[in-house]
Parts: sequence; C-alpha cells; structure tokens
Amino acid sequence: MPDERSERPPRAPLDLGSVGDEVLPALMARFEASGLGELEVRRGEWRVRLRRDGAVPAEPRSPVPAGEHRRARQAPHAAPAGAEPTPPARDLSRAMVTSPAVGYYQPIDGLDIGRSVRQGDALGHVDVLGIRHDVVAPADGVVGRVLADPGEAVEYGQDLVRLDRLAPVPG
Amino acid sequence: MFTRILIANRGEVAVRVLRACRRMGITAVVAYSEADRESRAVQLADEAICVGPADSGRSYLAAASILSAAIVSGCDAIHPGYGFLSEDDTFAEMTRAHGLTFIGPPPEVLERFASKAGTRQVLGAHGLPTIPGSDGMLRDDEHGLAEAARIGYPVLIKPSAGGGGRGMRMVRSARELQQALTVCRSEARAAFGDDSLYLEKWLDETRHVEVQVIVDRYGNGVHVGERDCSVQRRHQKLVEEAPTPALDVARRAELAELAVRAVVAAGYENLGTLEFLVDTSGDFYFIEINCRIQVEHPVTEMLSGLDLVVEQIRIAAGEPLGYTQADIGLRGHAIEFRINAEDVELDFRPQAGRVDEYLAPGGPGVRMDSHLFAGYEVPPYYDSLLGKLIIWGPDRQTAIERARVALDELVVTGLKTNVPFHRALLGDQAFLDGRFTTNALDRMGSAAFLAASAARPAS
Repeated sequence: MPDERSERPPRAPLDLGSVGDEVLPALMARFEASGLGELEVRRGEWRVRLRRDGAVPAEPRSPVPAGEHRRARQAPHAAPAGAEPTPPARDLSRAMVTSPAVGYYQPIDGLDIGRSVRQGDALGHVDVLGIRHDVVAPADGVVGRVLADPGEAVEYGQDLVRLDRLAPVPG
Repeated sequence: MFTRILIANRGEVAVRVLRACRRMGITAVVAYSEADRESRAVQLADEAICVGPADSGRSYLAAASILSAAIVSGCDAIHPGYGFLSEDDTFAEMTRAHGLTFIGPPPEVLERFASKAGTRQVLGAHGLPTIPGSDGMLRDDEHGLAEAARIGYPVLIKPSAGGGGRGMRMVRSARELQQALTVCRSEARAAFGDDSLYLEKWLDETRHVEVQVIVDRYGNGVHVGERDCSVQRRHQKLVEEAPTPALDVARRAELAELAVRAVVAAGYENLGTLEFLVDTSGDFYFIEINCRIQVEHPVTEMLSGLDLVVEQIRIAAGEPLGYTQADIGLRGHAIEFRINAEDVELDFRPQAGRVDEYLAPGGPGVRMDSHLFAGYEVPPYYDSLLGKLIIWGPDRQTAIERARVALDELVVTGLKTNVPFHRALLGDQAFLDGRFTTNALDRMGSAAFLAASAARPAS
C-alpha cells in the first residue's frame, strides 16, 4: 500500500470541515505565537492568509522582514494574544531588505549608503539556477547599511540591505 | 566519495541522514524551511541553509531552490530522504545536469519505475507474480463479465485514470458487476474525463509484506529480507516488523530471492523496496516498488547490522556492493512503532505545539530515532511523525515484552501521541498471534479497537 502521510507531504485536497477543524486552529495558534504580521499557507486548492490588525499588507510574495523574524525567534512561545493585547511594536525607523530565494545575490549599480529608494523598487536580484528573483524594497527609505556583497551566496530570508528613516507606515 | 552532502528533508530522517554523513566523515549541510529553523537537524548540522518559507511547495518541494542551495553551499551530492523530492526523476535529472549526484537511483531508473502499471508489467515479465486482472481495458459489459469469470469473484473495478477511490468498486457476483460497471463508467468519466475501466482480483484479507533490496551500479544485488507492515490505519503504516509472521522461512526466502532477481534483471540500481500483498493462502502479489529509503528501514538494520543510509550513499557514489547474499545474516526479530503526534481519542487528529518533556526509553535492543527535544515546537505544516521506536529481540516474544517496557518508559508531554494505540496493539490477540491484516483496524474502527483494549483486563 502507498504510505502517503509519513513519507510524502499531505497534498490531498482538503474539505471545508478539515480546514475549519484542523488547519485553521493550528495555523492561528502558530501565528499568534509568532511575531509575524502576515502569514499565508497554501495546501492543495486552499489558500489561507492570516493578517494581524494594523500590520502593513505585505507584497504577495515578499519574504518576512528579517527584523521581525528575529523577534519571533527570541520569543517563540509567547503568551497568546489575549494575554498580551498589544502586538510587538514595529521599529518604524528601519526596515530590512531580505533575500527572496537561495542563490547568488547581485545588487543594482550604485546601491550605496545614502541612496533613497521607494517601496516596491527592485534593488537587485538573486540568481537561482539562472532565473532572476527580484529583491524588492519593502518600504520607502534610505540605504543605511549594505549587508551582502555582489556575487555573494545568500539564503532565503537573509538580510541584504538595511533601510533607514522610513516614512510613517500607512494605515 | 562525496565531501559535502545537502540533506533536503526535515524531521527524524534529516537527523538520520546526518548521522550517516558524520560516520562517513562527510560534511552535512541541512536545507530547511523557515518553520524548521529551530529543529534538531539544523542544530546538529555542520552548516544549515534556509531554502524557503514553511509551505513545502516553496521549500522542501521546490526543486530549483533545493538545487540552488546545494550549489551555493558547495555540496557535491543531495540526499532527499523520503517523501518530498525523493522519487522525482526530473529533480534527479536536474541535479545531474548541474554536476551533482542525487542519492538514490539514477534519473533514468527512477523514470523507468515511475508508473505503477508499467513497473508491474516490467517486473511481472521478470518473474514477479502480480494481482490477476483483466487483459487490458474492458471493451464492453460482455468482455467485463467474461474476464471476471476467468479471474474469479470477488473482483475490483478500477478506472484507468485517476485515483482516490472514484470509479472504483468491489463486486461479488456477475449481477453486481453488470450494475456497477455503468455507475463506475459515469463516475470515471465525470472525475477524470476517461471512462475506461479494468478489473483486478479482490483480495479479502491481506498482509502487506515488502522486500528490501540493495543493487549497485554493476548489477550486484542482494536482498536484506522482508518486513511486514500489516498494521495500518487508512493505508498509513503504524507498526512494522521483521520477519513477517505470515510466511515460513522457506516461503520468505522464495519471496525475497524472486524480488532481488527481478529487479537486478530489470536494471534497478540503489536501495529499493518491493511491496507485495500476501493473501490468506500465502500467495504473494507484487504491487509497487519504492525507489528510496523508507521510514521503516531500521527494522531491517536491526536484523542485518547494515547501515542502509550508508549503503545508499556508497552506491550513489559508484562504489561496488562489496559483499554477496551469503554475507547477509538476519538475526532475531524487530518491531518498529511510529510515534505520531495524534490524538487517538479524536480520530487520530494530528497535533501541533510545544513538546514540554521528552525522554527516550533504553535497555537492550531499544533504539529511538527521533528529532524531538524538550521545548521543540512541532510545526503544523508537515506530517505528524515524531520519531520511531525500534525494538529488537532474539525472538518475537522477547521483542514484544521489551516493547511494552519501552513504551511505558517513553515520555512525550505537551502534545498527544499515538502511544495509547501501540499499547492497545500489544494486548491485541490477533497481533500477538501474528494474524493482523491490513484492513483489520479500519473494518473494526480505531475507536472500537481502543475501547476493546480498555475493556480487557490488564495483563
């Protein structure tokens, strides 16, 4: 007999009942305990996106900002949101540009300290087997630190550029 | 031999492969998703590289990301573990095209054995008995009736396309067949856009018995005996043991020798498992081959003393087997219990969350393969396997007694596990007698099985 569950990831289509009963509660618990602003999970034909109140809607495929990620790691077992009504404060003066993929990083020319960028600007790309994945600015700002060199091997979610002096977060 | 291997998997198997790399002096680079950043494999790794988000489609199943991770981290081979990309011939081909080695069968071998129907045909031609069935697709009802009479009722009607039970029906008479053919045809047409059907002999009570083979690039092959995986719930294996209580020594040897002869003749390479159904009269039928390391491989390791992951790596690196069938000795009896994060009282619902305490059992013949540690957070995105408790004894009775002690010693708190099921199984007369069949649990219902066990006086 094929041994689907333990030897393959679950890929069978989910019915509404199991999404409501099993998937959502587990996801919500995980999401509450994390410092993430938004979480999207796809399984079979289902796509579930959770977003915290007040979180800035992320670009559909942009990675988790590394700053937030590190916060999540420091307190992985934080009390559920009910016990802690205010979400962790965002550092509004900085934002991290992170790698969208694992591969070789190539910034655009002149991406040096002091350069102004706008949210959504392509700041370079990561080469994955010859396919370029754009590195996108998550917010308006000025390049404050360059954290990866041209041609460097980077992993998914790795900090590449720190942006300073962000404009206030909309909403 | 390889110098750096990328381990493209997670959980217990990532730790298992890592241990094999360590032993061989090979640097282990672990590829992980964001959800596995705090995992045991990442902690133990020589290097770890994040390949994507929790969603396995964008991490463990993302062929380009995994291969890119192997290239940028300077690896010369990729170990895919089980599941995920482990039997993906396109991924194996991509890996080779970039000058790296896929640890498993070469891509053309994976491709040759990719289709179940094709594999049955190929290995059937090399002497493996397969489940009797109709000669191709049914042309019309009359053809169906004639074929069913030839095979013998009961028969299973199966659609050529698709799966998931749609268009599938078991019938016990010609009259039932005639009615069911119409229904199955329209179901298959609606579900797959193809209404061609075929027949297969239905086996009422079956055991699942599989043969482990190792074949090198030069056509040297051995079998390492069989494993019995008849304790299943909805086609998921829960307990595996060797040798199988279903067959005597001579019949087991016949099965294993037939299996290894067929795969060597068909040009198979690397580790493989041939799965068979065994009916009540001891006849066996080949159903499929798994071209990878399997979850239950430690059962065979306990009997043979081999490290199957090391063998897999050696063969992928082009080394010859270096031993023959006469060198393979199988000693004693081994049983593996899959420890899953499941609530047996809530229909085996998968659990996620923090493990508060974890203590592995010990003693003679006790082995625990697991990625757990106290404080580990079981993510909700992947399968529920927490580890495997493998017990060896000089005979089945000793293994069962040791297993009872070990299961009582095992501590996992913070989330529910299926250990209560294993305790119940070790009190079940059918299992103790070696008579468990693949559909026993589902026919009785898991809840009824547990209730019956609770009602039994403690032994």
